[in-house]
Amino acid sequence: MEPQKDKIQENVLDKIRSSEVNMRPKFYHNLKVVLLVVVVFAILIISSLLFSFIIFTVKVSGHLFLIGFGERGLVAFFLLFPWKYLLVDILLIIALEWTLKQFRFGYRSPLAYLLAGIFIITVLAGILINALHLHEALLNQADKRDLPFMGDEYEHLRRPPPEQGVVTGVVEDASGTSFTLQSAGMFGTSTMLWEVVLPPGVTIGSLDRGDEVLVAGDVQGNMIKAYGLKKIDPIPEVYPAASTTMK
Amino acid sequence: MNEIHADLTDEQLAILVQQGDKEKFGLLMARYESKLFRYGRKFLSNQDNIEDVVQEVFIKTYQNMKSFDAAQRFSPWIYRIAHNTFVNALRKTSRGPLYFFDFDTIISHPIYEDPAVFEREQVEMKKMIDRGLEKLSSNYREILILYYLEEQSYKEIADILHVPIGTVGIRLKRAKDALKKVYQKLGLTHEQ
Repeated sequence: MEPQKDKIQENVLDKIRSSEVNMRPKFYHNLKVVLLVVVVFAILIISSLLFSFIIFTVKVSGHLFLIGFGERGLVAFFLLFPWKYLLVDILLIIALEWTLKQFRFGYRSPLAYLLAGIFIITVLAGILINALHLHEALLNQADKRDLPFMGDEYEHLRRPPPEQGVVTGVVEDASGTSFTLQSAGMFGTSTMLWEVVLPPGVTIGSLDRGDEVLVAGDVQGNMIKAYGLKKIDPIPEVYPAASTTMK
Repeated sequence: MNEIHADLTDEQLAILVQQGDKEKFGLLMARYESKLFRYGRKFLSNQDNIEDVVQEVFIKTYQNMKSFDAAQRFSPWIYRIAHNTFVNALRKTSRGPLYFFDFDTIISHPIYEDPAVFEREQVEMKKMIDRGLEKLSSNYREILILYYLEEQSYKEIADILHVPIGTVGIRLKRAKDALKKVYQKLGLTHEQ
């Protein structure tokens, strides 16, 4: 054996004998594994919650209808899509993938399969969370100003800021080529009346007083020159006053 | 003393160390010192502190001994620690990023590990590795060392490098091709 090598062995053994170098207890390694598992589940839960929130956002805000409003609607949909949440969710999925790589099944799986697996689990969990109406409950709590976090985010879903060019509200009065729309401000503390000018070629048709609609258009003061209009399902507890119809 | 324990496997020695027999760690070091020196010398070709790095590998091995699962083989486990330590040592001296994203880890690749091909290629590859290794990137260099010099299987290399088993096969093939290109560039033949 080379003297240099003998020296290394002796150095290491001396350090071990003098307790300068010690074995880490089994508990330490087990704790590391437990922490990793906790991190995996925590990221998975947060990621699924976020994904379900994105689905809920698109559904509740009515932004999905914008796709049917032609080119301008499509642009508006992409501008209003909650990209920041999607970006955070993608980062969480990447973090989860990296954490899973610490385990044998993780690093032995090809990246695409592992990411696909994580994505499918996140989507399924997201759909399940939506089916449990968790976000509806949080939204109603936000309405009552009873939500300690993300209250504004939930309120923006129900009552998007008008400067975004998309307003949801209740039809107050409809005649000819325009109608009056009542929308509520943040947390329902105030209401606004809008004069909505219908898109060219569109008539009032079957719009009744009390109908809830989503209007996309150019906002000028209290007037909205609409390029798209869609009757939407009423959101519970939002506009309790609007109950009579124009007949 | 070494003769008395010659019949004990690495895994049996590791269990004894886990149970508190510190001296048995000396036997494990004796078994792996030459291998780790060879692995380190080839992988860290430009490093002059190889002794310090190998010593660090042994210290880390001892510190983490209780995390070793004796149902698994000891060899890939200690090579994994060595790989991490060597990569850290390379990072300290390299200017650019050591490993780029490996696109071969994205999808699965067919695994074709043939012992007969290994036998046939090993002598030739060992000679080639001796001459042309320095010109290769670190990830190609390392996989050639682990397969042809350290004689680790695809599965063990996958555990050492933390990559899918299929990636080991494809990376090894690319590394061999790259080494042959280096030989052509240098105007060498396999016999030289």
